[in-house]
Amino acid sequence: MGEERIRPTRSGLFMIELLIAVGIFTLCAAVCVGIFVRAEVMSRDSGDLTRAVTEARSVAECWKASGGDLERTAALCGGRVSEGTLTIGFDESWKPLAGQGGEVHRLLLTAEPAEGYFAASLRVERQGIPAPLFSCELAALEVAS
Amino acid sequence: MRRQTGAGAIASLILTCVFGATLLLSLTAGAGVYHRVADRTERNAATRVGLTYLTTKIHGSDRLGMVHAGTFGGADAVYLLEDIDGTIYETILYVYDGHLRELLCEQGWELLPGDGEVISEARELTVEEPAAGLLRLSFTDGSGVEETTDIYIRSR
Repeated sequence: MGEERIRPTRSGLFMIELLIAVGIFTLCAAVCVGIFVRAEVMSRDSGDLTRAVTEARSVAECWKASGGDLERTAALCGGRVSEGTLTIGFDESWKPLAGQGGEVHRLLLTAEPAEGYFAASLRVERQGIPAPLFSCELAALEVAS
Repeated sequence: MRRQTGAGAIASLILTCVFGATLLLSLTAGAGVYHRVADRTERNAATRVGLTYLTTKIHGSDRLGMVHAGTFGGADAVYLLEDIDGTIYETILYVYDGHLRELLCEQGWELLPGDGEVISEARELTVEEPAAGLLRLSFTDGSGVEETTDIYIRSR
């Protein structure tokens, strides 16, 4: 008795062909979705960094204009001073907040000890992310009147 | 001879439909992400170009008595003065007719706001001095997004 040979049907061949195409497409789609997500995250981070630098620069200029005085800096650009640190809270769209609730981004300006000049460290961070978005050291050589 | 049923054809059809649907979904997702990324980049650039230009120009001209706020063409403006061979020239930065503009001329010349060189699209520029030597610039870009920055005049 001879073996029965299974002859492939036309729809069966089409099915295999389609499965291979779907498989390749799935692989490409997975790579593309990964790239889309990365692009979205990078774009958001870039926007946040731009805003963080803008806010930091503005506060640094106010601090210099105040001759290194945190209370006067707070009077000029908002925020609250506690234990030698000026804190300014921002919401998701970087609007400054008057109170403490709803903070998504936070700018911290901490006075540092220095002789003959005023020094401070500035840090902008996003809630829940330990690494700062932006940080820098500030120095004011003169006392503004 | 094997009888061919319609099951294979239906499975192929379903697979083709799933393939088409996922293709459309990935295209939609890609287009959405591209739109958001492009929009955010454009928004960042529009604001950054105007404010960074103003900030850089002011810091670059930061010499004693050479930077001051004023008005030009009925709107707020920043005046940057420069002494070249005893002649005072002024660079006026202002917003007119939907654009941030820059006008360089000898001090005292009466020019029109439309004569200025276009820098970027903008709707409004307001200049305040909340403290001595501190300029507060509020810049509204072409899309209506307002940004405020403070600039300390170190030379004053």
